[in-house]
This record gives sequence, C-alpha cells and structure tokens, in this order.
Amino acid sequence: MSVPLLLAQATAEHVQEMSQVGAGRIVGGWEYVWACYLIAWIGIGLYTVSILVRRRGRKGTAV
Amino acid sequence: MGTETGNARKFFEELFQGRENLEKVLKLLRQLLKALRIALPVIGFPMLAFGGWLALAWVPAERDMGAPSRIMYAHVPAVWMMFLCCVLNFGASIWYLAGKPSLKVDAMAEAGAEVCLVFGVIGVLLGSIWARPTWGVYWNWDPRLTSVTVMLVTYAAMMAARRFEEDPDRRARVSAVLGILAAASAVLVWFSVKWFNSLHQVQSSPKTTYPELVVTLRWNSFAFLFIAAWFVWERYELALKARAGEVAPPEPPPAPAEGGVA
Repeated sequence: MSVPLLLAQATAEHVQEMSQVGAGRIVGGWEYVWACYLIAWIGIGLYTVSILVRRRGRKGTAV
Repeated sequence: MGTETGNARKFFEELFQGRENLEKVLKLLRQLLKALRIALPVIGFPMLAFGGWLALAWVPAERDMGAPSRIMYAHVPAVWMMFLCCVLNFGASIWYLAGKPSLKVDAMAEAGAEVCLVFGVIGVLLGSIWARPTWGVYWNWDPRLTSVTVMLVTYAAMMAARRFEEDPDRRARVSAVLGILAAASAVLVWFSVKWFNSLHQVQSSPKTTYPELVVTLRWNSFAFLFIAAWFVWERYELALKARAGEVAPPEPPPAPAEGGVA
C-alpha cells in the first residue's frame, strides 16, 4: 500500500474517531432538573405536614 | 445542679442589677425566641420559593455541565443541612454520655438525627439524579456515595432503635452511641473526595466560580438553613412533650361515687 493511501486512511480514521467525541458539554437535561426540584420541594413539604400533624396530635392529647 | 443554677441566677441578678431587671430581660428573651420560632418558617419558605426561581430561571447554566448544574442549588444546601444536623446530634450524644444525662439533651439528639435523615435522603436522591446526565449512571459505589449510605443507614437504625427501647435512659444511651458512629462516618463522607479516588468532585471554592452562582447557592442555603432550624426546633418540642408524657406520674384513680359499689 502506498504512503499517500496510508496517510489518507489514517486521516479518515482520525476524523471518524473525532466525530464520536462530543464537545464535552452536556446538552439538555431539564427533565433531571425538574425531577430534583420536585423531589426537594415535595420532601420538605411532606416533612412540614408531618411535623404539623404530630404537633396537633400532641396538643390534642395534652392534659 | 441546683446550687449551680442558683449561682448562675445570682450572677445574672448582679449583672443586671436586681431580680426585677433580670426577669425583664428573661421575659424579653422568651418573647424574642417565640418570635424567632414563628419567623423561621415565615421567612424560610418564601426564600425557598424565590431561591427556586433564582436557580431555575435567573442564574446562567454552568458552561460545561449545562442545565443539570442547576441541581447544585438544591443538592448542596440539602447536604449541608444534613451535616449541620449531624453535628448537632453528635454534640448532644457526647453531652449525654460524657456530661450530665438529661431529657432535653436526648430530645435535641433525636431532633438532630431525624432532620439529618430527612435532608440526607433528599440530598442523596438529588445527587443520584444529577449523576445520571454527568456520570452516565444513577448510582456508583464510590467512596463518597458508599460512606453517605452507611451514615444514613446508621441514622435510620437509630430512629428505629428508639421506637423499640422503652427505658428512656437506655434508649438515649444506645442512640447516643449510634450518633457517634454516624458522626464518624460523616467525617469519612466529607473527606472521602480528598482521601480516595472518587467520581464525586472535591469541594468547590467561591473564588473560582461566577458571582451569580455563589449568590444563588448562598440564598438557597439560607432558605434551607431557616427551614432546617425550624424543623429541629419543632421536632425538639415534640420530643420534649413525648418525654414529659413518659415520665409523668400516673393519674390518680377516679374517686368512687357516693353510694356506689366499691
């Protein structure tokens, strides 16, 4: 195989490999963001309700 | 104990030049604490809502991580609150075992442990979701994730053990020991990213990030702090009432009705 052909083949392989590499930046992903904030808000909300319910229960049983 | 309290009272009476002035200061302090207990959620929840807007709409996305970088403003404050409550539980546990055991100290330890567990679970869930777009997987048994799992399982075991043990002193001692073990694993959680080869990034510095990111993170951290402080306060009061119910003397039997059968 001739040298120019080998070079051309190597270049083509390199271009193909580089095309598979991304820019190193994440694109999209808003669904993960919303899922996280919903979990955080719902978690804090549920614990608040739990505290208030227990507080009311204690008041109800207080002598 | 009684003498110590008496001495402290005498000292403060002298400091405020008379019992009347001391009573006034104590009354003012009680009113301030009452106002603070109301103010914490009143300020904290609107701050959390505004912090959500800052994180989701106002702050620019981090250059490389894109939209998922916004998860930081909920994940990091939640984990910080977990650590704060862990420190509270650790202090109360040490105080109970090494100092003078009291129901108030045990109630504080219980409040710290439960709120720590709540914020810990939220923080880990958020971190796991953040891991999917950045690491490619929801979970990886790397040192930080493994140590935080051990820590949260220890707190869960403590809360479960508290329900099974009826003797208040024994219950407090067992949970204090577990609290110290959990705090030891918290040290591992904090330093794991430095000591081991971890997928999780090391702690960042505000000096290396944009001011908008720092402002948003601080705002959300204070919102979480106010809410966590209110949670601990309310949970402490609940625990105190539960202790009072346990140690209260039994009610006297009802007096027999006149002419009734004895």
